[in-house]
Amino acid sequence: MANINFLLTEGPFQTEKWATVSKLAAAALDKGHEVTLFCYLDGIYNGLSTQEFADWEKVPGEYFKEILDKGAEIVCCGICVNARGQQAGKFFYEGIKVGGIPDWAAFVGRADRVITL
Amino acid sequence: MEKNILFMFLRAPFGSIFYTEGMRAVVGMMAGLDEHKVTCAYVGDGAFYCLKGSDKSESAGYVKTIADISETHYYVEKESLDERGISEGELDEMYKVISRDDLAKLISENDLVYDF
Amino acid sequence: MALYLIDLPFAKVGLDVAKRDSEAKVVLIQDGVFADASGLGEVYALKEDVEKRGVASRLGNARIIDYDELVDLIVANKVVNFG
Repeated sequence: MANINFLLTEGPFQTEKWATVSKLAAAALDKGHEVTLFCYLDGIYNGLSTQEFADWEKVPGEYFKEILDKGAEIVCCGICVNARGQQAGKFFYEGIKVGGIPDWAAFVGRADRVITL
Repeated sequence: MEKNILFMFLRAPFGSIFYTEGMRAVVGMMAGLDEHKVTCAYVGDGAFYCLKGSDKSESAGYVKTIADISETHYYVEKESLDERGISEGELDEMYKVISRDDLAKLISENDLVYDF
Repeated sequence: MALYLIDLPFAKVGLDVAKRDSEAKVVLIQDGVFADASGLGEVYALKEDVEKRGVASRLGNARIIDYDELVDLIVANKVVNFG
């Protein structure tokens, strides 16, 4: 079993990085690997539970909720969260933590692999 | 566990915030309990940040904090400079020029490799 | 000795760095599947990204892999990010 840390720096509904990260993380969790995710910069928007987009059956946030339920640890950069008016992440799915780069550094300390997207 | 980490700055500076938020990340990596060791390399359009005249006020504080924690090397890749017509004389002296072969060696020597 | 994850914005430099690694494995992801990875021995491309873009026939000797296979490659190799 390996520990994989993802760094996600872009938000949903703009580029496809959220899809690559959430699907790759889900595949890794299904194989029994440990997954940690640090959301940095616009990456913090991925964990919002309030996303709405009628054109899609499932919004990006739901994919992140799924990896959370599969056991992923998700931390969002608190400075990035507040800079973007997200008020300590009050609309994030429960279980997504607001922290800081030291949390990411600790993830990296435990990680066998890091993926940046 | 302490790791050796290479941060590659690949994006052109100023059009997006990666050039400075990447430096904030470097500080955080080094300051954590694991005390990771970081090396920085400016590659591709990231090399433009190493120009003498570019505004480094936003990263100056990070650079100072990094220097207080540990000796850290800042490299810029020669091939990226050549592709962009940048001569070594145009660079801020804190950046040491290395070849792409040297960059490949840095990648192999470090435990983890990030792009910013 | 490493696995290079390549997206299009950094493909040129990323693939050139990978060429200096005699045991490089390259994975083209997202718009990276549009990149020309000729000259590299072991090249993979992510299935979902290839199929959406309709480029399967343009990939030369690249092997098309799904997320499960990419996880196995990530676990088995040091990862270098050009994404």
